[in-house]
Amino acid sequence: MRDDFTMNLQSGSAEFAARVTPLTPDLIRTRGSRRRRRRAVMSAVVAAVIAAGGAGTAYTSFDQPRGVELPFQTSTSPGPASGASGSSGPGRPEIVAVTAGGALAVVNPLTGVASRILVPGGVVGGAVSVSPDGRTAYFAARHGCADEIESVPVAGGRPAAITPGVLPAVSPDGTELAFVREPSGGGLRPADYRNGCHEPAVTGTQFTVVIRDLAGGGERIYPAPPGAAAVLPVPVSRLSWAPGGRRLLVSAGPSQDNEGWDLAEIDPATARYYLPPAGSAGSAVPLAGPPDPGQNYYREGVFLPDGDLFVNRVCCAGWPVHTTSSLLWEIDPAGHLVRQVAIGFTDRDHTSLGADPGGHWLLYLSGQDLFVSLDGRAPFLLTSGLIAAAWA
Amino acid sequence: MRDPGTFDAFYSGSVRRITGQLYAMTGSRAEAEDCVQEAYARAWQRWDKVSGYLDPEAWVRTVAYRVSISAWRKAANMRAAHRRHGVPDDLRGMSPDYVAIIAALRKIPPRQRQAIVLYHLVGLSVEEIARETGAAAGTVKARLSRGRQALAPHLAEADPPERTASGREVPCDA
Repeated sequence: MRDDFTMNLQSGSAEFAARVTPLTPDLIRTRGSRRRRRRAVMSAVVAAVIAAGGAGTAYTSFDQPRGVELPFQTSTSPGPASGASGSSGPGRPEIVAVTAGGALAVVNPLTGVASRILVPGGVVGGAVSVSPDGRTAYFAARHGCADEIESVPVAGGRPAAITPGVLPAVSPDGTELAFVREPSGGGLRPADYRNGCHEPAVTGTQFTVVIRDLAGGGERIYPAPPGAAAVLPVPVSRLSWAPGGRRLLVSAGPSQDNEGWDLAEIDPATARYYLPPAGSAGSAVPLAGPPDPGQNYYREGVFLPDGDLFVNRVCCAGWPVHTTSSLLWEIDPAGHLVRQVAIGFTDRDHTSLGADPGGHWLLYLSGQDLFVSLDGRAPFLLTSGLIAAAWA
Repeated sequence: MRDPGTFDAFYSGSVRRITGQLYAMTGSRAEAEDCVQEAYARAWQRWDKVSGYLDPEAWVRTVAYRVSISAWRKAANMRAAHRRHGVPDDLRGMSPDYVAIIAALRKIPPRQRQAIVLYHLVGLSVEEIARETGAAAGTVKARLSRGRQALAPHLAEADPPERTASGREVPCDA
C-alpha cells in the first residue's frame, strides 16, 4: 500500500465532508422523537405479551439492527433483572467479565450488574479465564506497548503479573495456563504507530501458543505451522482445554482471503504447532450436516464438560464475502449437531463462548451483548458493554 | 432530561465528519447520509444517556454502520435514495487519489473495509477498533493486515502510468 494512503484518505474525506449538506438538527430531533413514541407503544405491547405468558426469551433470531449497547452499569446492590428470565436455575455461578471500558468485574448472574470491580482499567478483551476452584481470574492487561497475562483473586485483591501474552485459558486441573503471544500492534506501518509503540512488519512466525506451568514457570511453545501460516498471520482468537486437559481446542483465523476460520484440536504432549499441518498431532474439527458443510466454518469453539463442543458456525456468500448465517450450536466431536443454542446476528462476532463447570449454563457475547442460557432454554440478554466473559 | 442545545451542538459539529467516515465504509453517499441521519435520530431518542457517554461520536458511528449493513434497510434505503436523489453521483470533482481509494475500498470485504477506515481515517488504535466493533484485537489485526493486502493490487491498478518528456507513456515499474 502506498505511504500516502492515510493522507489521501483523510484529505479526500475532509473534502467530501465539506460538501455534505446535512439536515437541520430540529429535523433530526423530530425524527428521533417520533421513533421514541413508536418505541414506547411497542414496549407496552411486548410487556402485555410477556405478562400474558407469550414470550420466554428476550433473544431475537432475525437479523435486524438492535441499536447499540447500553452502558455497562456497576452497583453495590442488586438491581432489577435485565433479562426476560428471572430464574436462578441450578447453582447459577458468577460471571467474570471485561467491560468495554477496560475494567475486570464480577457480574451478578441474576441482574447483570457488576458486584465487584477487580481491576479498574487497562484490561484487554478477547478472553478471561477462571481457575477450576473459582478463586482466581486470569486476564490480559496492557502496559505501555505490551500485553501481559495477570491473575487476580475473584474475591478481590492485588493483581499479579505472570508473563507477556493474551487470551489466557487455565487448564481443568488449574496447574497450567495456555495463552497466545503475538505482536502487540499487529505489525502495521511504523509511521502509523502512536504512543511510541513500534512493531516491524508482521509475519505468521510472530504468533505462538504457549502452555506455561503455573507453579514452575516452564513453558512449551507452539509456533504457526510451516507454509502459508508462517508467512501470513493466523491469529488465535480462543483457546479451550478438553475436560481431561489432554487436548487443546484452538480457534484461529482467518487463514484465507474468504475470511474462513480454523478450529482444530491439538495434543499438547506431541504437537509441534498450534494448528495441525497434515500428518501431525492434531486435527481440524469436522463440519457435518446442513447448512452447506463445504462452505461453513467455525468462528470459535470451546469444549463443554461432557466433551462435546459449543461453537459458532458461520457461513457466507458473495464477493466481497459477507456473512449470511451465524449459528450457535452444541456439536459432538464429529461435528454433528447436538442442539441449536441460538441463531446469531450476521453483523456481529460471537465470542467468549463458555460453559459453567456443571454444564448447565452457557454464555456468549454477541458483539458486546452478554447472553446466557440454562439447560437448553433459549438464551436471554443479561447485560451489555462487555468484550470478554467467563463463568466463575 | 434531553437538552436540545447540547444535541444540536454535537450534531452540527460532527455530522459531516461521520458522514465522510460512513461514506468510506459504505461507498454510497445516499446510504451514508441516510444511515447517519438515522443514527443521530436514535441518539436524540436516548440523548439523556448518550450525552453522558465518553465518546458519543463513536456511538453514532457504530449505530450508523450497523444500520448500513442491514440488508433489509439497504434495499429500502436504496429505493428511497433513488427517489430523492436519482442515481448518485458521489465523487464528481473529487481528488483522483481519493476516488481511487474509495473505488478500491469498495472491492474488499466489508469488515476489512471497516477496520481500514477506522484505523486510517478515524485514527483509532487496534484496541479501540476492537472495542467499537466488538471483535477481538487479534481479529482486528488480521482484518487490517488482510485488508491492506487486498487493497494493494486495486490501488496499484489505479496508479496512472508516468509520462515521459516525449509524451510516451511508461509503466511505473519500468
